[in-house]
Amino acid sequence: MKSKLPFIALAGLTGIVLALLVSPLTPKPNRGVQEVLLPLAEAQQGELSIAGLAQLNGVPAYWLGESYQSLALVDIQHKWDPGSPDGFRTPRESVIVIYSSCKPGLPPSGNPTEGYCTSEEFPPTYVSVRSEWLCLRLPSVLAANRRSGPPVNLRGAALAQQTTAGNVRVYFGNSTATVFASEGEEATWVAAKALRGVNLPGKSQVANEHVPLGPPREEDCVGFILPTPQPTATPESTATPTTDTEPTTTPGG
Amino acid sequence: MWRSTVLALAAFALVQLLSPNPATAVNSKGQWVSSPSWGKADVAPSSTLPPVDGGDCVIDVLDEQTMVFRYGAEWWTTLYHSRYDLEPSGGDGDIDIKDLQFVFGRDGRTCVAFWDPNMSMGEYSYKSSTPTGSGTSCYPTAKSPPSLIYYKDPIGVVFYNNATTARLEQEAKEHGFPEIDHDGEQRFWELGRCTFEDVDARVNREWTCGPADSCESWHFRAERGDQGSAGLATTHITWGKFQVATPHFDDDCSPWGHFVPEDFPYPEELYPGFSGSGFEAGVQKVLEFFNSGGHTFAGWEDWDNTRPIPQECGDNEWPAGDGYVYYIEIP
Repeated sequence: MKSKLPFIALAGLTGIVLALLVSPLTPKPNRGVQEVLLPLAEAQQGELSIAGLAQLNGVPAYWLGESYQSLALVDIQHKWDPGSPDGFRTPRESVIVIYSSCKPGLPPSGNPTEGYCTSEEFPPTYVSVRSEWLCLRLPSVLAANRRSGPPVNLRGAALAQQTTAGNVRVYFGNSTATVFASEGEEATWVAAKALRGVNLPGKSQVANEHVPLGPPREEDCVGFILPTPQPTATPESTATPTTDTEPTTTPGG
Repeated sequence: MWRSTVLALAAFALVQLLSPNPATAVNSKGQWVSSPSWGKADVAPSSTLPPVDGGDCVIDVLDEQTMVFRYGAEWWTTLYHSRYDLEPSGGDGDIDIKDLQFVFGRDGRTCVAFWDPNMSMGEYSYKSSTPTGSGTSCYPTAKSPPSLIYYKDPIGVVFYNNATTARLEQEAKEHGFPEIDHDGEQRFWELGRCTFEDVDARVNREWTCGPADSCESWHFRAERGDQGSAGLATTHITWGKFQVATPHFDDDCSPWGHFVPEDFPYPEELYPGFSGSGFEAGVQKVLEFFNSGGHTFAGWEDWDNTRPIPQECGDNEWPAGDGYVYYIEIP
């Protein structure tokens, strides 16, 4: 009996450890990863003004200025999503800035007004810049056959990848910026080289279009948690950014 | 006998505790190409990215640990989960030696090995009209669309395994898309050729639509990727019979048309916190519809088809897909 005691003790300890390991596996309703990684929060989506974009304190956001070449800034989108309860749709946050020769569609009045595309002007010439967290859009995740050629260095140590979809992905610091120009590959690269920060997190990394970009810091992604934007980032749904908009905060660059 | 069992369990528990990637971890790289057989064996995720319900693109000791941990579990125990019940197909209510063999027998497999690097596939569907006039070839249109106006919807879903046109139409009807059209409106570029859509499935979001109004609806077009024509095999090495699809939400543009919104207007209908375009909402809706039918979700890939697509109606609408493409099995 004496000789069995250590094994009984070991069996007890093992049981406790195994119970601790098993408990997370117990099926639970809406067992979603975001419940582990993220605080509960409401979705945030909608159009931003330039001022709203400059004040956005979540994802580092990049742009090409209040206008780009002959294109007006016509649309700024911000989306923040904790991911679906079933885990299929992953957490994400993005800012999309669009410069265009005209606005598509019609204003609510139904009457064409200045700035909207005529039928001859559609589709417009445009450039878009999409900003995301590096940790939620890693270089390694891009499908192998969506890469067009090898990655190259851009403005220093940033990793830039042309894709078969016509975009240029730029990975640097804690950010992934995706640039697309409707005029083609060369125009896309020109735009990608002109990236700069627009909100504080973005400007802290890329103050203007001349500073070199650092390498992507994938190693910092271990344990990454999508930050919840603070209330100041509430989208201004009625705002329509134009080149005439007066920013309350001086945009970077 | 019981002593050796206790020692084995203790050793396993110690390994789990000390492992940086214990079998109970819930992370995954996500990006991997599906395989109906091998993909299911990739049961243990391992990296830092938010996961899908899949693995980490390699079948290794993590997967084997995970299976051993559940060895002997029956359906009524907490250790059991259908995800690990791999044999026979569809499961048999326990995690037995056949399930372990399923994983151990595939040790070392990686998703990269399944990828066909020569596959040439488009990322979008394209407008049907062709700039070459009366010619029926859509090659120049879909291979290199001459204008932005030809880009319509990003591909967001791949139906694989047995996604024949007849099967996908049947599944679409059973999973929330009852209206099937055959008007061949759009084109796709897949595997070195161009064809018109094979499946066009829709469901109105509202029960009734006003006479002077178009309906808000969920909609996807899909194209069979390999049909045995033009020298192509009838079954792809990785995906079997597959179709690529372009799910989206159509907002009504009273009274004359539709547009895909840049912000889906009814996020609460998907899940609390959803935020995305009509393209992203469409993919999520398809995932929900098919999830209710017990289909396997093999994983997702980043295709980078994220360009904003300006809409001809609506007010300054620039919807963009998120670039992620989800793989859904059609049995």
